[in-house]
Amino acid sequence: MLDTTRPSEDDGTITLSGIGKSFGSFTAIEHIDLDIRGNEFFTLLGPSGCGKTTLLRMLAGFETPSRGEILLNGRDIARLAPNQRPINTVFQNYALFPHLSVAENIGFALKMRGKPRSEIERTVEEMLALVQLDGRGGQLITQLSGGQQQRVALARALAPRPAVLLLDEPLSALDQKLRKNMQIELKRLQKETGITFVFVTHDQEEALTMSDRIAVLSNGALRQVGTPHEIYNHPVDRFVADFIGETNLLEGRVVHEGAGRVEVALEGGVTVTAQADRPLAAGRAVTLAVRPENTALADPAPGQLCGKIDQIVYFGTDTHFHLTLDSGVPLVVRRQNRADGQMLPPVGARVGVTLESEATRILKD
Amino acid sequence: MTRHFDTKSLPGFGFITLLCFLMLYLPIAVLVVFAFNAGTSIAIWQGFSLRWFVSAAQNDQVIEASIRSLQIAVVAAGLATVSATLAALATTRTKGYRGMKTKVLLFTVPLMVPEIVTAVALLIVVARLKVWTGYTGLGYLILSHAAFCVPFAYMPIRARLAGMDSTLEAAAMDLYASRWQCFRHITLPLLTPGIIAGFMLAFVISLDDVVITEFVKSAGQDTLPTYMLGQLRRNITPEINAISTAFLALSVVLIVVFYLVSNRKKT
Repeated sequence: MLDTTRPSEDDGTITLSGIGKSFGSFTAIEHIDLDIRGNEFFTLLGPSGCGKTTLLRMLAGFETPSRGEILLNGRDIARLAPNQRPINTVFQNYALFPHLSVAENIGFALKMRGKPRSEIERTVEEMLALVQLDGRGGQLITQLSGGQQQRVALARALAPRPAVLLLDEPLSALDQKLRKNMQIELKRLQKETGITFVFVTHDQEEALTMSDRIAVLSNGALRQVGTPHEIYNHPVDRFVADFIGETNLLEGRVVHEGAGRVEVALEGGVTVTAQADRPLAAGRAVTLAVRPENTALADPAPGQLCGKIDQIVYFGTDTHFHLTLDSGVPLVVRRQNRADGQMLPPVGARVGVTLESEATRILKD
Repeated sequence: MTRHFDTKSLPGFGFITLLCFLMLYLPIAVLVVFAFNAGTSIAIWQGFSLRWFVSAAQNDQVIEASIRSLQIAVVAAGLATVSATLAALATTRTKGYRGMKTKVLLFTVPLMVPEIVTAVALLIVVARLKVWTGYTGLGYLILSHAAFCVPFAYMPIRARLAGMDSTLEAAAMDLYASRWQCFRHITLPLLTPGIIAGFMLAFVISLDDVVITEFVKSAGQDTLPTYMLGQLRRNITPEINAISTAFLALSVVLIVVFYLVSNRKKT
């Protein structure tokens, strides 16, 4: 389109190999190997301090990795300055130039590259249309709302048609409703432009909604890379299971050796069936993860998980029951609210709990 | 907000405040009033007249000294502002390096050195230079003024730079700006109010200087303030008041401009 010099096979593929970053004696990123495919919406997800922002800054060129390579379309860019990489950033605070108009902000990169005025004007118009701000080119940044500023920041970073667009928690300053709209908007922009998006967030819901693939980070290391479905339904370890959505964790021992469906004796003597993705020896200590929506309340019965209801939280679409099992372990049961107004057990009631065995997983330790 | 200590509730607060304002502004008010005196006294009112303003405006020495003052102030403030801008950039836009804090200190400490000390030091150096070079022009005064104006220009510029969102410059670099383009299109335009403020401050400080000028100037190089000081030693007429009033008016204009510029919205 605008940049015709870019060969078609250069589709914005990023390969990180052995990337590490230390600040003095502090190691922000230990060792990361990661492939980000061309034209995908890729999310770096993790709690604050997990190294996701450092990783993004290394992709943008604001930090130089202490170790390893960053390949963009096969070329090592790890030591190039930010203005030498076909990668643009949408900053968390947008970093719009307050002394320039909306159009001048959007056209900035093309102007710096010495493009002719007619081309800059044409691109600015295209970008304004793309982010639905037609006719606002002459306005000052300060005259725009937060949501509009966000769109200008996007347009400005997309205008030079980068191979990769980096987004550093760009939705965190918006209110809930605007945020939902922008999530859909971002997804649309990514599809329309075909540019690889690398999105950084600590918000798991945001990550699940928008991403083609997600990388979960903690303490400067990758925990799991996969589609939202894989990350949510097949968390590899306790951290991922706990960080993405709500999860009940139960400790137990393998009763019979086997793979696939495995019998596990929980603390307190109850035996449940769970899914294992690898062979496990009998007697081995394991951790089970089961989502609140994959559990159900039942009448208490012998040989079944039982507990007492501590708290009932109403959420509109569903209700969460916070229980303490007889073994002393906490557990949350989520129940979809129905219109028939079925009688629900009150706080303090003793109830049984069933776990969907297909959705009860043995975590890698 | 009752739990905050309120100084306004102290006994005598209003009286002391009034006294302070009187001490600050009454002498100036009296000076301005007698600039319009029709008589020759600066203490006995003899009717309204603009004669002393006319007399000052027709006094060749006053005109010459005023022009000299302006020449020195403009050039010295210009030099000081350029130096201060470079210094401010070097102390805020670089990765911290050994000795940076010392440099910041060295730029600002001259504000606290007694002016008379600086004046004597400059006198000794300049006297030597005059002998060696044979040059006795305005250059010495201009350079001296530029030197002591640097810290005044440095402070507002540095404050502006330090308060500037550094991600703006990062964003410019991210959008393919070279270092120079980043400075030219982002840093400099955003810094301009600070530079103007720094220049105005340096300009006013230079225009007003007596001590250093008195020590450094060669014969026949009176600036307006040193001319006025010289006049006070002889017979005092309301002409001095008239010159002071005009000077005051200029300062007020500059201060208003300075205020407007430095309070212009930063975002």
